[in-house]
Amino acid sequence: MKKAFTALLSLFVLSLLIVAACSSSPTIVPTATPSDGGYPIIVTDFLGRSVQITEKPVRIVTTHPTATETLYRVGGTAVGCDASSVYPPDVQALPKVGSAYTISTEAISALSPDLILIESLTQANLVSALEPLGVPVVALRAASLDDIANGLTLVGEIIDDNDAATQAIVDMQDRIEAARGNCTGNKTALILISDAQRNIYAAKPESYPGSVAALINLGNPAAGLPDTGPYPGFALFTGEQALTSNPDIVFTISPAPPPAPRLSAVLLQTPGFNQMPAVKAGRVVELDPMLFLQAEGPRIADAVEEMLRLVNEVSY
Amino acid sequence: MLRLDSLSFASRGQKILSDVTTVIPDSALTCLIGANGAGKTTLLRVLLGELRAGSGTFYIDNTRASALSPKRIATYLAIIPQGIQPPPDFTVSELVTLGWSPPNRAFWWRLSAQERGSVQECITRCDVSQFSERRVEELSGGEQRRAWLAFALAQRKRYLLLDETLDGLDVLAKQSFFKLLKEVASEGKGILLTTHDLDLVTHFADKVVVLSGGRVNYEGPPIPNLQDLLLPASA
Amino acid sequence: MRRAFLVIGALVVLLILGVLIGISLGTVKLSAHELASAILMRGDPVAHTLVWDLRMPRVVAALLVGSCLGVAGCLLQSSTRNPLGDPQLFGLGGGAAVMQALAMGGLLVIGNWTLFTLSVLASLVGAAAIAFFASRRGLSPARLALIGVSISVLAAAAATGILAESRVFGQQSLNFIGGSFANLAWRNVLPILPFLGIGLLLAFLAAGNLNVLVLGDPVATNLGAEPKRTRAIAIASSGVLGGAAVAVAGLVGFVGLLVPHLARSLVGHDMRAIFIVSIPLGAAVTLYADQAARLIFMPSEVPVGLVTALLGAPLMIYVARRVL
Repeated sequence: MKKAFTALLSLFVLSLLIVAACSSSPTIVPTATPSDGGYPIIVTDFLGRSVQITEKPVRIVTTHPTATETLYRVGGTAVGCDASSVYPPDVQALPKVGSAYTISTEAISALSPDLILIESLTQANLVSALEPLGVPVVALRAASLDDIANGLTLVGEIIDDNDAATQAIVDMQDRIEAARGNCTGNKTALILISDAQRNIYAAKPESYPGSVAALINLGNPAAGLPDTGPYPGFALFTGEQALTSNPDIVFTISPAPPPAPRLSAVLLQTPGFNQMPAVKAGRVVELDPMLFLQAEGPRIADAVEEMLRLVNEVSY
Repeated sequence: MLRLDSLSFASRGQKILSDVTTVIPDSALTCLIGANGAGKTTLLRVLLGELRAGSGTFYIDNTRASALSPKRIATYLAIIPQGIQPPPDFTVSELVTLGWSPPNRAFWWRLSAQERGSVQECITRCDVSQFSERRVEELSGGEQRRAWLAFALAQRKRYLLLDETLDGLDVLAKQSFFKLLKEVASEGKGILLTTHDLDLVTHFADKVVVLSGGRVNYEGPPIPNLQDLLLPASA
Repeated sequence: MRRAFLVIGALVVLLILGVLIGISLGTVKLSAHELASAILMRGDPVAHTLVWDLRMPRVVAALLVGSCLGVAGCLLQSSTRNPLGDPQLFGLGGGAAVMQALAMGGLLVIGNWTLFTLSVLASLVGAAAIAFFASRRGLSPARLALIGVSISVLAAAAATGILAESRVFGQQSLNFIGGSFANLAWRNVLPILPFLGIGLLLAFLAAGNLNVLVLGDPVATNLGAEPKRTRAIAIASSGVLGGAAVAVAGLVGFVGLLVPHLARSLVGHDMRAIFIVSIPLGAAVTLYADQAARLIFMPSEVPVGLVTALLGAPLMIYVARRVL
């Protein structure tokens, strides 16, 4: 009995290790066949899947803010979206197909879509769930600026409006360049977010909010920290680490909507964090969680501009 | 003495005890016999105050006890319930010490040296002193019963109620236990023992009470052919 | 009892050592000299903050919560005659967890002291349920454990639901194995003291009779010990202690289960010895578990509940096999 128990335990530990090793995802670059405006076309999405689009989609359903905002940015429209998508304001009136974490395939099929746009990092499991509908499913991703640009191109190709896509990309890049031009001096910014267990995480440059900060050349005290905790791109940040770091400005993200307390207020009570010079001097700013965390996508330009504005507004 | 006067008890429409009137004397071994279901254990529970008699009353040393709470009655009567299991890991002396301890004792209560002596006396009286430091659960059936008897003695109460305590012992063990009970009784305890062993009852009991169908069929000194009295009088 | 005092002495030494580890080790390195100055509030003010506002509250929280849980486990196991007794397992911390979730979601905006009091009161609801079932004749230990687990799972589900509704952190799977001593300030820790006091007071009232309860209710009653009353006091005490512990650190499981068994193996079966040893033993187990959680994968932290589960779950399986 003891032997069986030990064997079982080792097997369990071994499988944990294997799962951990396999969780890094390969980088996929999507492609679209350059077309002459005719359908059918074959595209490769961000999950590396080849998807055939037989005719111009007119009833598109999106299941994630990234998908929704990318579609609308290239001039497309949806007939239904997820409850977490709130931009552009038009989509708030659309029929909903569930939240971004629990999508209802029934609700999707009730809308008779001819194309479904999902997000690749968190919704990959939807692919098999949506197969029975027999509708093309394309996965997008917005983990980097390149991703966003490629996503715009991909969707532009799918709805046969490459010009709109190109224009959107150019706009986005222009605005970001302009923002970078307006950066003054070398400031450091610490971006913090907290979870259900009162743990506080710092966004590294690899995370979405971290990459926004990197685009305007803000230094990040969390750079180089190991990926600790369950959220990739975020590192667990303890009071001790806070005590010894001295960012010029602290950004906080409080994903839970009011009445949940704002992290900027909680920091004032948290030992270590409340000793940071930036916190003591009141240089703590709340970021909009939708813009900076949950709706990764073409609005990165908005995020960059917003963050720059906030940095410049604070007196040092 | 324990004087029972017309005790009746019914449960869910069933009459379990009807008009039980008898006397359990001091310094004597009284055996309560009856077939299974005759009401022996129920009678004990009424005496302990666990159950309230439907009608009738009983007296402990001329104190009207039928209205007393189990806690009050517990100052007069000690019970060794049927099929009692020893607490795991406890030694004989630890078990008997528990019997000696005052109710609701404070956390820091300790035995004085004199009390330890008295506890030892109880153990010796019941012939288990050679097992004093051994775990009760490791002893044989007969030895365990003696340990429980020592536990009951340590409570220093006038009356001991033993429910089917001889159950499961072999003949020799039963005999020696009966003898011990008789000795203890003659030293000043009123003992009420429920049992099925009619031969030994005839031999050792000072008084016999026969319960049949919830009624007292006979009470008095042991007589031969007690088994004939076990059936209800109407049968 | 003499052995108990020896064990307590050894535990005190372990505790002092644990406290030293807790204040000297961490992501910021301090030399022995710097540490000494910081303790005495001299020298670098950053070091003071580090020692007195960051590390010390955490150490003290672990000690106090650990004592609460150890004693609660001891009382539950003996009064319900169930070797699986544990305040979290039996749902005694459940009400408190729901309160915590409400506070974290901002649905209950109250001060610390009110939160603590409400948490304890909510835990007493779970305690009342267990007390009711524990007094019923013929309820096997396995069934009582199942009832307790159902209560605790129900509470955890409610708490998780509340947190999921408020979307406390975007995309996460909300698992409540949690429990954490991280980021605690003194104001989060000190309110446990009066509840620890009340709980211990009640516990001492019941502790004298715990040995007698083992004999079963009929014999215990016959000894004048009022088992129902003792049981009620013991379970109420566990509710107070369990609720206060959750109010500080969330659901730190298995400590209440582990400590009485460990104590029994150290000092024997006298419940009074086990009880008195549970106080420092619970503190020591929790302190060391939290330090392990904090330091092993530094700078990352493992939830302390994970460490205690690693220690406690195998024991639980062993006990369940042997006894149930």
